[in-house]
Amino acid sequence: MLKIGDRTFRSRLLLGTGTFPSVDVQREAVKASETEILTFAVAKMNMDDDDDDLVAELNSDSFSMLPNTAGAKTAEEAVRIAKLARASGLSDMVKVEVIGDDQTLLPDAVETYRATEMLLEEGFITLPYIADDPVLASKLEELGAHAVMPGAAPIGTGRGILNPLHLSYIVAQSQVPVIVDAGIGAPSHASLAMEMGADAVLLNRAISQADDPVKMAEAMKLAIQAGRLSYEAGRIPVKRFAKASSPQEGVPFYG
Amino acid sequence: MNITVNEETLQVPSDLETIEDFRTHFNLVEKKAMIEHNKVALRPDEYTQTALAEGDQIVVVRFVGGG
Repeated sequence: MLKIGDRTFRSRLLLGTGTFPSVDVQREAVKASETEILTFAVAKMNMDDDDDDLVAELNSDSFSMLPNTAGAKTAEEAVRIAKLARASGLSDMVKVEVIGDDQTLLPDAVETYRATEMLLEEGFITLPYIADDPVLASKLEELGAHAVMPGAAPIGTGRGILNPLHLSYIVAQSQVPVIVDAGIGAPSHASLAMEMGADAVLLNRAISQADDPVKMAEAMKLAIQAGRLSYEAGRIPVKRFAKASSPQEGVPFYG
Repeated sequence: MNITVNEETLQVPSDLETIEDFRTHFNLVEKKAMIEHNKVALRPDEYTQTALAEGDQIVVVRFVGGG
């Protein structure tokens, strides 16, 4: 079971809700993924339009909501967004996302740390999105963060785990859940994260922008389950030379 | 009465006395909208107790798709 704060989850796949081709496809993909945690962004309402209510469309009563602070450039902005999200009464969890660079969308470590500190004081269940920095991950855990969410690669690049060594350091040192967030493109990437001992994977575009998001949702679900089973089963060590699986003695000779 | 809503100055009827009246006026009651009043996010149970006054800054947000 995945345990975040005082919540437990069977699914180790956290799914973003952006950039799906339609709400109908999205609903089917959410179902196929068997996710229990959906992320949302907070945006200003257009007072004139009758916008669709995505939360209602996805029947989010059945899911835990993980609002993010996307759009924040400072800790103060992140806190403001998080408080608005919590005012919905739907969730007190928050993905702390403070972007520090518009091109790479890499997170601002200093502002993310400050925001996490402020949000913890406000009583939020706090999940900071960070680069794959073991030192920052350790400092956030010391601060009291309820999980750490290192990126595999920059958001939306689909490049997979660029620095498996750093991720392995983070996994080895962390007592809180490690959720690999951002940069996943293929089920093999998600599976590798889980094989390495990550506790969960958060992804969005890898499913929402696939040719068939519903099928990809199922593929990701299975990959994450397979990776987790592998981690629990304990894989064999890598060896330099061959080791036979068949007996080398008593081999019958024919002809 | 002039108030600022999502950074736009709007004239609203002066009989809007509370945030709850503001929600009714802008048809927000049925929508899942979150409201910030002078930079303070309001819980739903605070709507009826929060007075609306000239020059107030209101931010209205909602959840949208995001990762």
